[in-house]
Amino acid sequence: MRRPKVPALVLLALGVLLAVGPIVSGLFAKVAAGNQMIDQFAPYMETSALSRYRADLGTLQRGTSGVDAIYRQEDVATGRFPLLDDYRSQSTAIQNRASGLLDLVTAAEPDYRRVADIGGFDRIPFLIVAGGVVAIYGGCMLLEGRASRARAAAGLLVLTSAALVASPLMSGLYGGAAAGHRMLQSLAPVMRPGEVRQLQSDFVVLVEAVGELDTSFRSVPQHGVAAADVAALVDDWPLVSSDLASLVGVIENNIGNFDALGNLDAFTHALGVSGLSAFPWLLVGAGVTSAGLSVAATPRRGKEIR
Amino acid sequence: MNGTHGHSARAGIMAATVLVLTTAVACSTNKTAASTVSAGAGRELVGLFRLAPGTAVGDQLTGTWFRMLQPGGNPTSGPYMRNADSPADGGLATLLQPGTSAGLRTGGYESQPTPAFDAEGNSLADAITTPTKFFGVKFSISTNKVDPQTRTQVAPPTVWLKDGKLTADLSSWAASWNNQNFNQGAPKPVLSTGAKALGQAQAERVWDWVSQQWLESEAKPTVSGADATGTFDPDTGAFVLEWTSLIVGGPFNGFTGFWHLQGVFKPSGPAPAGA
Repeated sequence: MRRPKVPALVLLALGVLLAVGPIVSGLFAKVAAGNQMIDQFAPYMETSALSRYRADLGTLQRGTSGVDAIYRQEDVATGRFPLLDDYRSQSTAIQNRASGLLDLVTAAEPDYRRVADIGGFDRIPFLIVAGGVVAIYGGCMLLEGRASRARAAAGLLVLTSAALVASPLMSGLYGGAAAGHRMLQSLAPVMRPGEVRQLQSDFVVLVEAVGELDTSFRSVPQHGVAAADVAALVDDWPLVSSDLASLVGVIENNIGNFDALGNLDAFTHALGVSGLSAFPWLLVGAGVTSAGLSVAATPRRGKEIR
Repeated sequence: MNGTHGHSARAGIMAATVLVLTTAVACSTNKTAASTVSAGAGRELVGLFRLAPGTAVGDQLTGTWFRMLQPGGNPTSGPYMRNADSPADGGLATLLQPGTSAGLRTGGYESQPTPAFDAEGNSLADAITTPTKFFGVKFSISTNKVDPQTRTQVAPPTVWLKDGKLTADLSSWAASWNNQNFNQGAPKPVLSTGAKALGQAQAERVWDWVSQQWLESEAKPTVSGADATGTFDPDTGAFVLEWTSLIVGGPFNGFTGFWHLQGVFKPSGPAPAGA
């Protein structure tokens, strides 16, 4: 039997690369981080949640207008309610930031949904490593194993390669990975520590102002639409603040996960392509190469060259 | 035949060698150092730390109270968050009232109820302290075997007395507010909420067991940072416990809670399990 050694050796090298690469490059951790981020954002990406946030913003905007109107109607002196004064001086910027955040999250929702629909995203590194282990085994058998075992190994390799090629299609990785790249770009402006600190700071100004509305500001005569809008803000505040706190909290808690996913996306930056977009093609490439090498390395009838 | 068996044996050894080397390279990138935090020595005080209600006269606070320090501030000069719902020190402090069990029990947990919040996000934990309004929503305290925020298993509240000074492991001290949980303990539990690959948690548990059984490694620490400290009068049982606790993660990441518990210690059995 003739044993083509070069393809078997290349197959062995490819196997080592596939088995070790995901571990050394931290692929498991990055994929797990991405998976956790997708899971944790799930309740905030629901259509009903996004609508509720929009309603919260409306309540806040109307309440702010109501406060401004009462200040004018009752000629409230600056300094009498310092926390409200502080909020009123920043209210436009705070509302713009909150509205901008919501716009970003809403815009990212369709891509988020496609990423969330990827089946078994966190299992992909296992598939790659398994492909690598099989390639190592197959490479060794094709180099040194009995002819029958070498052929069986080649068959196993072709099957594993087929799984590697098919997995992006079966899991929705083709569309999902590209959507992941777009989602990262959409959320990048907000998934930063500085941005979260700004949102926290806005939240503090807001909670202190609403606290004053709910206490000392009640001594100011209020009537009409302005009074109703302020009362609605105070009444709805527990739910509004819960939504705001939860959203800021999930953003804060996922900055590390976002960075890890971004790191995966930047993996092929030097080649000018998105790592996430290239991810399914890397799987296909590994599968096709592995299958081709296993076929090329299969022992053939003829004198064995040693 | 011998030749083909020789082929298979060599191939098997070769594959095993490559796999072992592969695994060794991979595992060598995941080594972590472990250290532990040792508890202070002294007599353990088991029983009820009955809390005195917080009171304020001007900026003088007594009893049990709490302040929330903004990021970048310090406990001496603040800036503290101004809770409009609190009359104490212009809202810079929030006074606390003892809950249904009258205070903090050591040696066991006074856990969060289920559900932990009402429909408006008010905390329903009422054993240690009475739920108290903080920016329009009531917050309260519980101590839990698994901390609700960090998901780390922590020790029950434990207080030691040595030379008239108290040191306390209050790592299970958890504040709940507005559907959010904030660990406010001292020392701080390490976070157990990081992303993990499939099977990683189980593999880590096996590795920890193996390393402790066979490699004489110490268990990984579950807490870090300083204990709570305080004073104790052995004649009257009067105590003061104080600590600061950084909020890690969540909407108030970087803020710090400053806690002051005051009252009288009554020795008794530990808190009933699952209280």
